[in-house]
Amino acid sequence: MPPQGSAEHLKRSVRDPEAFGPFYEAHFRDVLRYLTRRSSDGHTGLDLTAETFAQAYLSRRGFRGATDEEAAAWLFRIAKRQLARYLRKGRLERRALARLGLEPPPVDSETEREIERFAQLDEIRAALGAELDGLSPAHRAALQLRVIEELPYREVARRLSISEPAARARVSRALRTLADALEQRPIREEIPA
Amino acid sequence: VTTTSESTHQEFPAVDRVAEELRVDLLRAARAHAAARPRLLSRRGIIGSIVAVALVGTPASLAGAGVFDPEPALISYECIDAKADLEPLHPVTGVPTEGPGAPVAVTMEPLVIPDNPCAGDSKAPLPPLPGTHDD
Repeated sequence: MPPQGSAEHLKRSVRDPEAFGPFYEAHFRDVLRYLTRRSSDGHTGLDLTAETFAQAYLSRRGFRGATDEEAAAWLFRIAKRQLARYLRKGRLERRALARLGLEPPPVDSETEREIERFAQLDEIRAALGAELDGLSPAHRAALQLRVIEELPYREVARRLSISEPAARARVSRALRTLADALEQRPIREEIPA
Repeated sequence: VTTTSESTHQEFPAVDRVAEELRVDLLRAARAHAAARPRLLSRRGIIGSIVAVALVGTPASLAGAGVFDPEPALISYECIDAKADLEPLHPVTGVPTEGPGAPVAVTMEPLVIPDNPCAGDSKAPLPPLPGTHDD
């Protein structure tokens, strides 16, 4: 359930920048948790969060919704876009932060660890490890080659002596199994959509 | 494992600290850039760009195709003589002969039918219209 008044604050911030404060406070922790989990890194998660809110501020006129759910979904769409860009390019973009003349807060190793504890990264890693152990050797090998070693499917197929479609199917089935298993765990999160 | 916003405040002081630092910086920047927008073109900007491109680009492309040429080189006349006779038609003019402002008669210039240089023997009499021949 998104915090009440979120949409109203976001809309009001078009005329009154101060209204962006309550909107930020209402969503900061959810966005930080989401981006830290997806990037598997506390520092990256915070930088992506800062860029997400800077972009949200610059784009606030584009919010066309009316409800708090829509405001949360709008913000998470920006967060997902930042994350996708980061995963695709392998580096952070700070376009919106630069436009506002901002720097993300400095993060020492202790703070980084705390952000990762906050996002329950250890639990997620442990859960993933346990579920990986539960996969069949064939699926685990396919997943490791494709996801961890980031090899193209053609190479995964060659190393496993199977066809490329078969390699794709193995990786897909392994990921589905992991996702289903994580769904059953209490660290499951609800992302506004 | 569950995490709530309330417990976060108590258990993660460093998260609270960076959240507050970013909030202060963000609002300071927000006040300084109250009217800032993303660099991406707005919908209005996109429409304006399309119109501008259409205005600037279309005549150029049409001109390139020779549409605006007064005498495009690609047009050829079947009858060269006819081209020379293309002159604007003179309007029929007349002068009132009597009574200022209330003419009772108008002198017409004689109607001259130009020769059609492409019609072969233009002096040959026209065949009578059906139903107009003398009995």
